[in-house]
Amino acid sequence: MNVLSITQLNNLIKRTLDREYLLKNLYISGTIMNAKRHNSGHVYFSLKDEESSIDVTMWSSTVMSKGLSNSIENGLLVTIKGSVNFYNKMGRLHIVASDMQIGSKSPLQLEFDALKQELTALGYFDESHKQMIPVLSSCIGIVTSPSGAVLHDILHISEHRNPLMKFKLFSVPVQGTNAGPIIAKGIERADKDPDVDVIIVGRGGGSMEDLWCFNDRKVVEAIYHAKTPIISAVGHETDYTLADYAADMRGATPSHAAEISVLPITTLQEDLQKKEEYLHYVINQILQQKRGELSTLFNRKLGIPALQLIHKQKSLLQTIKDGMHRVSMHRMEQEKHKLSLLAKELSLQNPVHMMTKGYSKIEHNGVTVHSVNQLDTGNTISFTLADGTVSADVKTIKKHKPLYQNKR
Amino acid sequence: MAASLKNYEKKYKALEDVVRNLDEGDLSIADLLAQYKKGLTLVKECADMLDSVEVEIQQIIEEVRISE
Repeated sequence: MNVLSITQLNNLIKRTLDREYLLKNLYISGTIMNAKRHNSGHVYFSLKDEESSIDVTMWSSTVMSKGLSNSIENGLLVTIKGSVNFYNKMGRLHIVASDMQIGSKSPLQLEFDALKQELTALGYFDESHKQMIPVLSSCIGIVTSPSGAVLHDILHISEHRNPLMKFKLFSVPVQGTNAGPIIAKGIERADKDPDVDVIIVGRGGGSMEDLWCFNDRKVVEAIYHAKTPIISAVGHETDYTLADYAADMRGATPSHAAEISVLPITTLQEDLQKKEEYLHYVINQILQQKRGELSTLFNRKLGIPALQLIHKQKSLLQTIKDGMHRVSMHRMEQEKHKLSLLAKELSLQNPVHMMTKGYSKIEHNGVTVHSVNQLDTGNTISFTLADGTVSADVKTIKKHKPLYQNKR
Repeated sequence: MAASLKNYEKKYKALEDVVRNLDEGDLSIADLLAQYKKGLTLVKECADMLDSVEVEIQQIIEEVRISE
């Protein structure tokens, strides 16, 4: 068994192709599609006829020397001179063009351009008119042929993503001279169906002639006037029809249209969960802020004033207590003072004290003498002094006014 | 709590009466002592009430702060 590496295989293909003189310096005629100009100046495009297409590369040096910088355009019918080349690194076959003769645009392309220009002017392709595709639909209306690839592709994709999704087929021919108006009617029927949330209209790949019914003015009008969001899915990624321009969204392929309209149920669930979490987060933020505000308000307007009131009352009580103490102590001082005055007065009236000042107690026959009237001359009286008694006889008695009136 | 707070006003009024009596200064010593003792008792009771109210306010402030 002879096992080849990719490099060996690709080198083999390249050697074989390079040896084949029939593939050198060919003249090839076709319509330019999918033209791309790279920053390097190299131009890449596909040449297409009704059935087939092939990739073409024109190096920037050729583009410059042949003065083709501004003339390579999609839809142009051209004849190129070039050789088949195999790019062995990528395993890709293409034609490297060394010259190009530009023919006129194909009649269909001219018709397409004219209709597109007219309908654009009428506003049928305005971005502002386009609707959002709902994130979650329950029923998708498919306007296509029951035998085509579209139906199969869409059902296949959505089966894995959301098995609950329902579909309604609006069967129409997708090819032929009369197909356009019937497709338009199909779109109208789907739009009127109350179950249908989103419409996919389309068909699988084909030539420009095959896809032509999707450039029908009636189809564009039906799409434009539909109230239901519409996804177009016509042909391959490189095929653009007027239906694609009019649709709310273009699916590059029928599968892509299914991916747009049927989001995986797990994605929806995750999204919902994230939204719920965000909602909780936001609500908590707001609550926390409000709590903070409330707390601040409470402290500033209620808590702190209440405490201040209590403290004020407490200091008032302290003042009262101090005041009572002071008044009582003062009163006690007063009483003590009065008492000491009385004590002093009392001590002043003590007989012993009087005796030390020179006064003495006079007695006659054991009776205290208060008045000269109690005595006669010759009476014997006794004087009591602090340190003893003296006896004396009364010699003379002289009476005068009392020195002070006795109160008693 | 409300009942005892109502009591506070009553006690405070009684305290004011005591102060007035003391200030007038014509009490007997026995009455002076009695009024002084009564005054101090009232001050203590009022202060205790204020303490408990203060504790309660502090608790409420704390609760409000914790619930943030």
